Amino acid sequence: MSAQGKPKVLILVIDDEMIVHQSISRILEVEGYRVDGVLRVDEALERLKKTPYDLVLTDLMIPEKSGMEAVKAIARDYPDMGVVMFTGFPTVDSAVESMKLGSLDYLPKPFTPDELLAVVNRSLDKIYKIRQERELEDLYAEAEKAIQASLELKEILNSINENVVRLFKVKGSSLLILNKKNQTLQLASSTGLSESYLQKGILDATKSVPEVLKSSEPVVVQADQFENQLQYPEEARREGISSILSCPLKVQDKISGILRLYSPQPRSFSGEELDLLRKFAEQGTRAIENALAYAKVRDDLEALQKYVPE
Amino acid sequence: MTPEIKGKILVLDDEPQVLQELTRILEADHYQVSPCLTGKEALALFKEEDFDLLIIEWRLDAQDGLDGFQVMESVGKLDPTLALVVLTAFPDVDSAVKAMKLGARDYLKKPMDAEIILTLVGKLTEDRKALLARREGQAVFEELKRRISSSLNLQEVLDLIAAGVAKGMGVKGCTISLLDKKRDQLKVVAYQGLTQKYMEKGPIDSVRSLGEMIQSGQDIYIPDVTKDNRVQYPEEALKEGIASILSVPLLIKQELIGAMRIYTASAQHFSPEEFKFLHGLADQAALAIENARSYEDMKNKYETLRGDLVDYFEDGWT
Repeated sequence: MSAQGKPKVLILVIDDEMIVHQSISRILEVEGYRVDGVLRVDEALERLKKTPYDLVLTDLMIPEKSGMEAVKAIARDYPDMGVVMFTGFPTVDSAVESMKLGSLDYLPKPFTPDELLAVVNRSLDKIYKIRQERELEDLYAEAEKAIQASLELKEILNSINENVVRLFKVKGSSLLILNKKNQTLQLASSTGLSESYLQKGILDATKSVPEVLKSSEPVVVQADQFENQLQYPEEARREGISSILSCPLKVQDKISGILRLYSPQPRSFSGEELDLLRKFAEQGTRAIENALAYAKVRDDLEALQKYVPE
Repeated sequence: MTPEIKGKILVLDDEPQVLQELTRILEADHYQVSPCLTGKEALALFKEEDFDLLIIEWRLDAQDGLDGFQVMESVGKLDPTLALVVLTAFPDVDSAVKAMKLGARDYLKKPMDAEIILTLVGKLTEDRKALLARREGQAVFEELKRRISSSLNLQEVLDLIAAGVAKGMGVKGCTISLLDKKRDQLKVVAYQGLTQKYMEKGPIDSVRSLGEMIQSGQDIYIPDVTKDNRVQYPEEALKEGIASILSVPLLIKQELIGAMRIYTASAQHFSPEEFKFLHGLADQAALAIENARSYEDMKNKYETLRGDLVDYFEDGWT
């Protein structure tokens, strides 16, 4: 991952020799990373309390407190931070111990600039992935709560669209309700799409990504399949859409509609992402059903209130 | 009577003597051992059966073209919960780092030390059992979340939560209490795993038992019910076989509506992961309770009005 357009990557080096700091800094600063250095483990642990480093590189043999202690403390207290051990005295035992404690890698000294860069970038990728997974997990928990925090249909529909856009980082989303009698899809709610795209015409469920209803599973359509899969391929292109993901809204195999996500970039979705979307669509469908049940009782009540004598 | 098998272990080494010795050591300690001489054989077996642990020599005389790392990578993908241990006659830093990155839990050197191996194997099989139990608990919670969000029947929602939490956490019991309108009485509205006698022990003074929670919106953990003055009925709790109580707030927009209480038979340590899960569930439970309440309120209003109207028309007609 490049640092372009993102906050600078922050790296802390722990080594009792200044010369090591200088050589590591020279290599990593070329990449645009910011490198700070400390001479002792305790000093490093103090720094970590204030600065959210992305990665810590620690020597093994340091006076006062060993680099092993740094690995242990970081892995235990900072799950979002990476740590890598390097050493001029590599042994199988210290390699195994440091990695058991949570070091992402173990780099014998001397190393070439390329070796150091490879280890640093691989470790950064690992830590970014961990952060992303955690972020998605937290966003998902929030999204699930948000759609259940209401019994008002309109609010729930909007909330499903907004949360799905946030979760999957797409441009727009729409909720289409399946009319079983004439097999049309009616727009119930949307976000991030232009008025003219929304008004493009009647959607026929047997022509607009028909595979979704057949398989009852999420289906991704890429730009080169628009002609075969969409009813309005031209309109989708004009809207700047490159990938469309359609997920059935269903509870116990009964499909009531489709949740559709629109990405401006060509985009594929991982198995985990599809699982998450399925789960979210299912919870969304339940929330919609609850809202409909609530609306029905409220309507019944309002209807009766008309008969209440003045 | 044959003792229970402690775990199933796949052993991969191209030296028949190593396989024999490992098999002897592990079987003597009641593990089921499947020895393999090649990676191909090991993978085939792994696809058919479930194992707790793979003990592997990374450097294999690979007639089938598979080295130990390739095998580790493949089995790791097939079952990420499998524990891996390297046991090697060719220890070096590179292979140790590579093995650990592939998820090995340890890297041991030959000649093997039976005691070290047995201690490690014992720990790893226990860890894996605990991991699988946690996963099962999470699956129970997921199912529970699904079920409570698809019901608008208040009592059903409450009963589902109490039963699901007790099962998912593997604890003695669980209660759900809701605050009344004046916010000074906590009423138990659902319980699981506790006797009726215990539940009817007397009114709960919410200021005493949950005063802190009402103030702070935080959990309250009582590790020992006999030594805590927040417990109103310590004797009854002891008789019921309760050792500790964890109370988790049920909040709607930061406002307390009630509490979920978890009762354990022995002092229990809950991991941060368990706390996170429990809070996620408590949040959803609170929402489901609130929705069911709103629905039932509306329904009650409707039915009352209908009753009134029926009375009115009947009176009018007579």
